Amino acid sequence: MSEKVMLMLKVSYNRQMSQKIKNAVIWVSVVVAALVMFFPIYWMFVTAVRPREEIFAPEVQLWPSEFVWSNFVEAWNTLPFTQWYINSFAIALIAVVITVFINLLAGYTFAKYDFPGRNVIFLLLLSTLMIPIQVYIVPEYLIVAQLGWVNTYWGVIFPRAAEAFGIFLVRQFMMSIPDELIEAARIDGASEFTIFRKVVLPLSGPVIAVLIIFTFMWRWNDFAWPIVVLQDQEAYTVPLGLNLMQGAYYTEWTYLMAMTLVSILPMLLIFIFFQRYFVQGIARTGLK
Amino acid sequence: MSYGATSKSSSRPRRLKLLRPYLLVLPAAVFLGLFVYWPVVLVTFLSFFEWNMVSPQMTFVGLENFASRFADPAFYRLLFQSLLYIAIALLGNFLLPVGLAMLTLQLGGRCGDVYQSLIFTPTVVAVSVGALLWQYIYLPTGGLLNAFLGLFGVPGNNWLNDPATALGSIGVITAWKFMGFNYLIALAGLMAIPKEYLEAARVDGAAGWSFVRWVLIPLLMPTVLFVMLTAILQALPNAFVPIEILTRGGPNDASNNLLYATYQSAFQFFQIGKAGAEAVMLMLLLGGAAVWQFRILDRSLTYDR
Repeated sequence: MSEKVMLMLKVSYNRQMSQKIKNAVIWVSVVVAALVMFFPIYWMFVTAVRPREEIFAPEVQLWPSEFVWSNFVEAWNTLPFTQWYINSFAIALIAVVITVFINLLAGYTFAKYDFPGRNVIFLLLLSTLMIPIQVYIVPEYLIVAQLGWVNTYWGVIFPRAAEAFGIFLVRQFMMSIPDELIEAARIDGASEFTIFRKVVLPLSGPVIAVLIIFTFMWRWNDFAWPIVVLQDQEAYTVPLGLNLMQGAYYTEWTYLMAMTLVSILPMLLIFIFFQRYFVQGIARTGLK
Repeated sequence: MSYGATSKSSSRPRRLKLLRPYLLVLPAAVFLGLFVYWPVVLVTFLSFFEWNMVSPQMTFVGLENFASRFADPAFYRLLFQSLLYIAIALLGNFLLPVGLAMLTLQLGGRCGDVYQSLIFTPTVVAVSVGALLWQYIYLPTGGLLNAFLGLFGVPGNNWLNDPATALGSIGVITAWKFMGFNYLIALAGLMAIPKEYLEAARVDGAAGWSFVRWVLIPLLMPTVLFVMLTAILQALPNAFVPIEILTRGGPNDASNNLLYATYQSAFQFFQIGKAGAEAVMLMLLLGGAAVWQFRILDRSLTYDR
């Protein structure tokens, strides 16, 4: 049967037609994919800015009848969002400093030093990527509680201070820095710290940017671990606070969508400005 | 080397030189050791006990926690539903992004950038925020999905509260949230293929499906396997937050899986030993899947090169 089909395809007219149909199918699926991926975000925006009484209108309106910007102020004042944003920013920023530092050191060492046990240690660190935190969350919580870090920034920051993913990224990047550069500096009598600061770091701009962006994103978006370690509402981060807006019987969707929109703004802005680094960072993980 | 041994003063720097790599890796090793490996050891230890997390009394029960899991029909249901989540992840976070990357490879320049942004936006949104957003979309009355289906005369549903659709609805959220990441990995893998290979294949007359099957996929093998591995390993962790926020495993455990059940055993029912046993079995399953995948990856790499 497939031979017959092949014969038919050999007629050039049919070939052109089927090509056209194929192209149309491809284009439709590409456009539908983009719509499905982006429309929910658009819907979040539309819901956030439209009049509150409009959201349960019997017909779906794709565009708000009027823009009610006061939704944002009202929503902000329903719950202690100011405190939550302070917490979220503090945790994300402190975590960025600590995590980037730790990951740079480790990644550089794995890329540029040869020492007994290097591959074993690297594999041991890397395999932590495969264990989801929920698996060991009980003892993790007990350890953090023992250290007195429940309801503190440190309880969120330190358990995730070293990220195997980040170490892997740095190692992959720094392996591409030529050994000759480092050797030359060493022969010139530069100390190891000077080499790292004056030779390696200036060349590592892109990977540092990727690390900063990803670490900020992970900490900003975290939910599973903070919900366990942050128990007082005072100590909540923004995602935990947003979850509170979801009522058991009644949810004010306009306010909830307004606040979720505000919460994704920092990440959206970072993403728009540094899109290239996102793509680079991700590209490097997929390649060997 | 030989002259270093003659002078006494050089032994300190030499020792430092030997120790330096270990010192540099130490912070990372300490944090991952204390906050991943040590809790993993503890959770394994706890799996042999009966304990409720607060009482000072822990009872050693041997392998009882494991045995009771295997004797419980609910356990097999959780296992099956975990596989369903993995199947959805393979579809939504492996086949879809890889296929879409192949289709959009030709989109270059500005157009490609915009398209990537559209596909990638959900990835920068917190998964908890994504869950809340989709809850709004899934609403039985006033929800976007039911309204959309209504346009075609299809009756709506209470998606998250219907045992038949709860698991799938959670799966859609995770596919939506985590697809963009894998899409970019696949796209990067495709773009790394030397253009000459593709040109040569085109000249030889490879087109359409045969081009994809015999040229693109073999060249893309390492990336394809990497994306597949992440899709499988991340399926349950990715679904965790949506389940926690939207269904808590319900209705009637219809959207539950092994990972979420482990969490429930601990923080909802305070059965730490049972949770430990479930956690250990999960680690073995995930570890096994990873080792299996690495072996395939290894083999395909050595055959290709």
